[in-house]
Amino acid sequence: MEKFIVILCIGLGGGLGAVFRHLSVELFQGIVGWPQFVAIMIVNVLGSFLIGLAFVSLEGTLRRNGKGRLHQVAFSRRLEDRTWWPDGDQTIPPIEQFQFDLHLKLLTGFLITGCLGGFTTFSLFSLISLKLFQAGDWWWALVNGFGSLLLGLIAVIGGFHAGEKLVPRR
Amino acid sequence: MFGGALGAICRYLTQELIVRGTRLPGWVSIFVANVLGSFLIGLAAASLQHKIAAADLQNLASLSHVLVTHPFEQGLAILVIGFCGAYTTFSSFSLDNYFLVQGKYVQLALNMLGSLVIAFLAVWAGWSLGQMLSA
Repeated sequence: MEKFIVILCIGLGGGLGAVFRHLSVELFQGIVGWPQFVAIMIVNVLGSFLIGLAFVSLEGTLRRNGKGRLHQVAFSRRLEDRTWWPDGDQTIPPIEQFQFDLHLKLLTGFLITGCLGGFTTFSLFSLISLKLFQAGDWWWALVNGFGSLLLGLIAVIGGFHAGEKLVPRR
Repeated sequence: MFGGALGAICRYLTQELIVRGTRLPGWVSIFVANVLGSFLIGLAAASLQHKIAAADLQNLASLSHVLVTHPFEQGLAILVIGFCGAYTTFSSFSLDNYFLVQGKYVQLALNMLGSLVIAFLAVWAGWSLGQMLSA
């Protein structure tokens, strides 16, 4: 049952994300008039920023069972006084622990796996690279490929730093 | 919207299957989803492009015009863009990369360059296959 609701949340988020992606691509390409690969790059980089932000704020506030992944990142020492790791929050009763876990699962499914996963795309990105390559603009195809990779990574790091500020102190 | 929801659910199921069913590290599931989705969109783009004579997938802005002339193919194209677009993801890919930055440099390079190159090859293979099938 729980799994079914999680899947429902992911589906809802995925649908919303895909619609927003289509609208954003239309906006940047059709109305602003930038080339399509720039539109998709903007969508991907924006989504990467938001996923960093969402990941830190959700893990930092709702993850209290000590199984989080925040300790895997470099600046996690600074989050030590704000997150419930490595052994979790022993002070809260099991029923609340269960609620925190459930909320974390649903929100992660809806926002991260659903909305942001559906918003950003790798397939259109590869297709655009192929189109650029076939059109002879292999220089732009390379810029698109490596630019997206690097900007995406930088955006996630930026999102982490922004999200850190949203996590309240213990 | 429908394609997007379906794509996101399929990605989640792929992820669960790979994370629970095998001992591979977590980023492999996103890698597999991205490569599969890229192959599929290449296949769809090539096979639908021949049918949609007025405008192709390359020009997403003029979708509404073709919708009148080729309703079935265009509907399918929108579904495929929704599905593949949501099945593959860039944000989780970047997030995984950031976790790999912490010392796992070999896996990081494998994921970044591997995804880029193999997804490109996959979309190219899909494209060629689609052209062969519709020729």
